[in-house]
Amino acid sequence: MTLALVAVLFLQEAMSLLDQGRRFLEERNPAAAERVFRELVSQSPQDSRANYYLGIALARQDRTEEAIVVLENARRFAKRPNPSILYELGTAFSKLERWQEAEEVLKQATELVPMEAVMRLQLGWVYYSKLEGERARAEFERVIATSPSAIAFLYLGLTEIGLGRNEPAVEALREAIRLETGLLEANVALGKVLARAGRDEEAKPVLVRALQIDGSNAEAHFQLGLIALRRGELDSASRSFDAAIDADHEHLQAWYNRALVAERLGRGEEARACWARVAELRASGAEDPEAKRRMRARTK
Amino acid sequence: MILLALLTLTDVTAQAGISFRHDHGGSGRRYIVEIAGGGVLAFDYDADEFPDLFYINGSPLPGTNGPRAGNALYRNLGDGTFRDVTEQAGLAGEGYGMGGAASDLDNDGDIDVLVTAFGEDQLYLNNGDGTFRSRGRESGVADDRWSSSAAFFELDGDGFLDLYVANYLDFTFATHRECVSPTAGISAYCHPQEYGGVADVLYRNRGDGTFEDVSAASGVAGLSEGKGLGVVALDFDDDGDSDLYVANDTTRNYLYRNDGGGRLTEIGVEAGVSYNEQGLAEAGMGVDAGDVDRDGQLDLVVTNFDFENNTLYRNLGGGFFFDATSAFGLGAVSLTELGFGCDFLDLDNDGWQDLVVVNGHILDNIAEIQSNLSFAQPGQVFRNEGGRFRDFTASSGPAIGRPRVGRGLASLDFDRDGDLDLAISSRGGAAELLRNDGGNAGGFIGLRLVGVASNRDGVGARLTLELEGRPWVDELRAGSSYLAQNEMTLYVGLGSAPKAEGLSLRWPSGRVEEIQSLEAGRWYVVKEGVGVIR
Repeated sequence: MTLALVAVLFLQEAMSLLDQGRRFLEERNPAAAERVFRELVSQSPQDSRANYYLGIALARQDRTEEAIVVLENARRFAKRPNPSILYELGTAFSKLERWQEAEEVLKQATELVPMEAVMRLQLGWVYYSKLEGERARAEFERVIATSPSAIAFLYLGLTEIGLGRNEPAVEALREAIRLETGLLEANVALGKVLARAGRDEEAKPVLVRALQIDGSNAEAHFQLGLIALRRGELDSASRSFDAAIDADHEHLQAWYNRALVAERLGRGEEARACWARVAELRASGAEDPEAKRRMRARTK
Repeated sequence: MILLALLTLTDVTAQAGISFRHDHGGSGRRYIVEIAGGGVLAFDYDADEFPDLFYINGSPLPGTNGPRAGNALYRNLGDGTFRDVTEQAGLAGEGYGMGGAASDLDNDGDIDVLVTAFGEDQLYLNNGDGTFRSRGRESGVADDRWSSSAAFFELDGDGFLDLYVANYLDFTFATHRECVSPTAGISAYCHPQEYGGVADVLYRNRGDGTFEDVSAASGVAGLSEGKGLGVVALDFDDDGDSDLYVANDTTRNYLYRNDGGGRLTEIGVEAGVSYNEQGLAEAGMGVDAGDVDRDGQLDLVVTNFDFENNTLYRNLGGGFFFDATSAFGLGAVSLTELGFGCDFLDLDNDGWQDLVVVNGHILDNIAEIQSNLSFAQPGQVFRNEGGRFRDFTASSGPAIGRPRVGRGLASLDFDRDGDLDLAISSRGGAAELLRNDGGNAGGFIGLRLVGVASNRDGVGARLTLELEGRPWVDELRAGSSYLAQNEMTLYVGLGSAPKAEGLSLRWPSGRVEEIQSLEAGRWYVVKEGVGVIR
């Protein structure tokens, strides 16, 4: 066999493994994909593409730190800067809340392919997570200018909430829902932001729609409970808090308000049981994820 | 209906002769104590019926050289100007002051002063001749833990004012930590969660200018997780004695029900005022009480951290409150501000309690950490329009909306023109006096009280009347907001009514004074058991 023929056969085998691994990824079988890509990497340790796919397979198994090592290899062995590798790396850094590194690689990725919405959305999300709302908004607005999508408007809406800008948040979330009525997160976020502004009449149908999309959404049930509570409709509030608790037994806020309603209704035993659950949840560290996010981003 | 558009809060600090500047004492080491001061008290120290102003100062911290600038007492000369009388009054003080409260503690007819501190609190008794004397540790209140706000109130109905002092963090220079912002990677003041809380203190007045620590017997000492910053006394259950509400920073707020016999029971969680509607503890700073919906029950407001609303708890009666922040229109308007001093006051004399808040971040480099926030922040005016608040800052003149690192806020009618003015203190900044121009388009009455069986100043007295077919209620307080105290006058905005009618004044002793009618546009003096004497 000539050297050329060996090379061709080797390449064919590699291509076949690559396709096989990709198929596993498409079939959402990352463990099988990992085995295939590891084989490829062992054959060609400096193959950027093999390292890239191995990184994806690891990331999809939530083995993010391992994924980062491999993706860094893919980045190093690439002949030229590759935006896909940078994007995957940025996403992995984001998962580990290594925001500075995530920002750095995602900025590079978006400079290479400025019109790629997914990458810019991820960069915006990094800014959002770093509490840099203005920069997040700028990224989401750039995405919307070129390829408007419900997700982009949802992210913009969440960013506006983070910036304390209620009205722009309402507008963005309404637009997200207009583009994709069934986008649950947008409906819940809009319901919450309207309720916080005291616009209960507008909030209620939005939250009801959220429950039509997903009847077991704890947050929508909870917000409807708060609206009922504000109206003094204690029984209705109680039912909504119960539904929130059924949907998420660790919904501290729902347990808390359920306890208050029981107190007001004079149902002492029921209240005591709810308070006990509230105490349990507090002890286990269950609290508002947004508050946690802000806390992490503040000081250590 | 009065047009509030005509109301302007005008900065008259310089022309009034007030030049106080707060010294936080920091050298760049970022001791957490630097973030919190300082306070301002409005009280009539010389009994000339013009409220004076007392600003409380910090002092140099390790790493900083130079003399202590001292507190500053400004005497109101009655012509719109003030004179610094600190030295002759003997109130320059020592140590690192925070806030305080003032009232007649020995019932001798003049107002005494407590200064809270990072270090020993100081009690100054008024000699009645424009000077004060410190009792030092003999006073019994020289607790050396980090104290913040304080309130005088009658705990046991013996006619002498007792004292609640909120304590903040278990911080010393030895326990100082260096913290960084994980996102920005820069040095920043530590989060209060880096330090433990400290139990607050309750003192019983012995009647001779000294106090006895009754924290253990009363039930206060058992609660040590709280990080107290604000306190207000109010009779939330209208049972005739003063209860207490305490705003804690990042830990649940306390509501102490006065059960008589010197006993306080903490019921905040069950009453619905310990957490916000999400069931979460917030970063409580300042606090005030007032009947904002005119239902005859005293409601509560707490100022909080950025991205936490200022929380309004509506009193439902029967011992229950609920978080009505959104329903009252305060939900979305205070998100990016970090609130400290707060005051329910009727700025436009329309009979409804408006709300003023002064803001300012605790992180001097917050803009580097979060680009949409700033260290100095505008104050805010919320007009109460029949039970719902509307942000009226932009229509109240430029002074209140000017960025400052706001901390203390006190209300007083310093020029006696029939509307309430504002005194503001800022961390590391200049004191401000904002004159209310135009608020007196509506009528008012002001009541100064003289207690006999009750404490001399009538602190805790509850005034009720009916105005335009709805109840009106408020109580006289000595200590509220944040490190602050308002002028001790019961002040009623009457709108277009020519007189206030059907007034009922319940003294802390339990005695009730019925006053048929008081003409608008005047201050009155009401003496317990006698009625209106002037």
